[in-house]
Amino acid sequence: MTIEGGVRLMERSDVERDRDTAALFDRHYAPMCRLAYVILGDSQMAEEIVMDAMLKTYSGWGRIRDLDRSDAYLRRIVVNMCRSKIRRKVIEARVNQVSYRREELKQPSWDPERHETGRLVWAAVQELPERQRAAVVLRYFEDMPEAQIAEVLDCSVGTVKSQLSKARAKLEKALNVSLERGQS
Amino acid sequence: MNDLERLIKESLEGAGHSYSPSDEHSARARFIQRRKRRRAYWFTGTAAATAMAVAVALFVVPGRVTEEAPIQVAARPLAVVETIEVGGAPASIVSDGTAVWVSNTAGSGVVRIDPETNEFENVLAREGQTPDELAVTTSELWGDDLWVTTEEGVVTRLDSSTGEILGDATVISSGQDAGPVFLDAVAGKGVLWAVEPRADGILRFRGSGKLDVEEARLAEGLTDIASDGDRLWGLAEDGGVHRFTYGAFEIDASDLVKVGEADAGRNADLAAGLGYVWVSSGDDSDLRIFRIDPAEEEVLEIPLEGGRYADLTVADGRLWVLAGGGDESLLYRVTADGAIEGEPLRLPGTTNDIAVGAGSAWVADTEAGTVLRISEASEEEGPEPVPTEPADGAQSSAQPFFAYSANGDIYVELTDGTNRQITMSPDEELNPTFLLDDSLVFERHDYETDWWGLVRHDPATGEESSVPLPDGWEGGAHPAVSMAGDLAVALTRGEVDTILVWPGYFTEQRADGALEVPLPEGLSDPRGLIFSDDAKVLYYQAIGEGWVTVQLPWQEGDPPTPFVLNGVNDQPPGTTYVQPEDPNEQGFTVLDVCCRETEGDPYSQFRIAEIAFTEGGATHQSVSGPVALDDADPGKLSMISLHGAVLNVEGEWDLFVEDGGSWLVTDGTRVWLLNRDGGGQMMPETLAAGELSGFSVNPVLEVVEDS
Repeated sequence: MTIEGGVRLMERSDVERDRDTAALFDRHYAPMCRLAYVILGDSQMAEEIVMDAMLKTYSGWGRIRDLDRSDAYLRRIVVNMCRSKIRRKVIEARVNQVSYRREELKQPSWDPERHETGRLVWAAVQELPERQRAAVVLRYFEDMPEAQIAEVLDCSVGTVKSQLSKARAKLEKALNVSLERGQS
Repeated sequence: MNDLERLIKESLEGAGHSYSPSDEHSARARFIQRRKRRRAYWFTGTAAATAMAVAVALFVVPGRVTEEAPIQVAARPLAVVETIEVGGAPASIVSDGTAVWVSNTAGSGVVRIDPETNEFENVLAREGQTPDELAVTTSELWGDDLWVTTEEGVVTRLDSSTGEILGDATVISSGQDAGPVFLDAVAGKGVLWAVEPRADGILRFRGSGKLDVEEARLAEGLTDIASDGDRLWGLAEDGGVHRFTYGAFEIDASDLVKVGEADAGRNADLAAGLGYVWVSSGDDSDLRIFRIDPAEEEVLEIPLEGGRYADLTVADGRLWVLAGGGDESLLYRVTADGAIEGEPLRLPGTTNDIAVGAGSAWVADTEAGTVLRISEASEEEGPEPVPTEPADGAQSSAQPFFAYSANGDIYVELTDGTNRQITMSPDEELNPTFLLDDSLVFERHDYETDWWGLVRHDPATGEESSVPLPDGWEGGAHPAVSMAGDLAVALTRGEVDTILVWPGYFTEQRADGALEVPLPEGLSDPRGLIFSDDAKVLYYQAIGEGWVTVQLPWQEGDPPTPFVLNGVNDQPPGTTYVQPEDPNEQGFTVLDVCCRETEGDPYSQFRIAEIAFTEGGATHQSVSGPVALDDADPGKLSMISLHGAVLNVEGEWDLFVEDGGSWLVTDGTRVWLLNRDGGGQMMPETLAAGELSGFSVNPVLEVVEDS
């Protein structure tokens, strides 16, 4: 491995590549699964997406010039794949057949019924358009500043602000409706 | 962070942190295994012993990948010539050249479109059955037959000319999973092939009456199949492309041959024809089409721009590629040589399947419930209503009449009925802002050069002038223009928000000397910039649990002194949020702005219900109630605001509209707020020249001299 101008060049052996990739997996698999799960609300699909994203990261390894930014690269792929998944609902009905054939996966230990308000909010988040949903999860689950969200979503900071503003307005409205129903 | 934000945060954290991925150890092993398989292909190029989990012999040939930049050849442009509203959710679409059939998953029926009239009829609807895949088999002796599969496992064969049902069969899947029984279905020679993923098998349907069903259990992970009549091809999850040979009555699973491998994954598609097998890459930001030559075992990689995955079909002597996955879809035509014919046609991002026949391409738009008929544009009839670029050097005296953004591009309609399109390149982002006189002002961010600035564009001539943002600043959100031609933009640098003002930017053509107007301490994220006519920037922003309006006087050479016009207003958006202390002190003062939530339109949560403000002692008040736009002279309609921007009305008012789904138009004395019916993204085809169809007209703002 050589250092040139602060950028590590990708001239590495297979062993080094294996080690780096395994480390990438161990460091990011669980957090990325959680991120995808919160966006999609589907644990199986989340894990499939993260697996694919990891493979994409590997196949695109030569394009990652700065290893320190590999986490941002991976997160961007995961979020974009989640957004794509949301958009592709009709096609997904078919593709899901493949994933459903996989072994039964453990359900999350979190019991939404015990957290009714939280469940309502999360359900409302699931109804947001894909870009607003991604922006909300990155902002409030990943605690990202707006500039970083803009980088992940490949848009301007102004767009992020406007998406978050609209999302909050929709969530507030949806939550009020849900709570009113609960009270009546 | 207010209560709502805390609630969102706690909810998402509760959902995320109490979930753990299942069996990480197994996932890690699977990841390592799949990663090494990819490396064998991508980095060594040697034959990989990736035996599939079936007891069949495999002859694995990875194929030699030749990546070439796509050659573009001239071709007549494509245009949407008809939008057929079939309703429901059209999904699969096929054509035999005399008619077009569409499976309507929401309408639970099959629709037949007559290309002569573009009218449609329902030809097959069975209660409890959701039509899924369609295919057409052709026979010189017996004519064409339409095959329909349903998500519940019923296969029906119909005479395509009469609609008579010739036979059917029901497949009861052995799996316990929900969802469609068949993953894909294609027509062979007088037969229908279907993939049944739960049984890892391929089914063949033949005959009439009670259809004969034959099954071969083949490979795990088969996602797609294609037929060129004589041969059947399959695409596996690992990207491998397989050729299945079969005898007269059964599939010969022992002769499964892997002819090529592509970097296919989820949402990849497979097509066969023109002597090749075609595969689209899976969901990826770098969309590619792989042309596999089964005879020479060569793979040609064709990169395409503007999509993440694609639907493929071979027809009319070319490959048709419907590239989707973004806010818009692109329809490409690719020759057998791998050259791209003409420019791709931009379509709504909700389109998802394509068929070619009867001299046209037909694209199903699932969410819109429409089928788009696409043909080559002739010289006589232009590609209306698709917006067109101005001819080189063309001059026009027409004024901008209407502008909007869709799919990242900006469309401008002129008063002479022509359209202009400002196209976003793959490496840039356009954020439309507002119309000013005869120009459109928008923000442009070029990713390649990292140029970020504001552009003033003359739609009539195509001429542009621009001003870059100062180094380090980004995000020209919510700009405002004063009556003196000053420009103000809310910008961000890292975590710091501020407002930059260019004095005389438009009137004096000054693109330098931007003044930084810092926000009062403790405030950030400015929204809704408005210039008052005494050179103050007015803006509002969320703070704590309420909203505050801030006035920022500025003059060249003097440090700005922010002044909080009103304290924190604890009334949330949806009620009054701007309330000055003393309207008489200001030459231009917003007196009252009310918003209300809109019922039934999820995309437009807030609309201005009424506006009233004072100016020079006169009060302009709103008039509520719907008014038809018919009584306005279209020739006098001059200004439209875009996406929460500032509207300059005949040089008298500046207004702010908070919503991306609404537009303002004025004839000089009145202002209409237009909201897109049904919500969603406004598409070009709804904007025929001179028409404003598809819109509801909400409140009208009328100038009233108030004593």
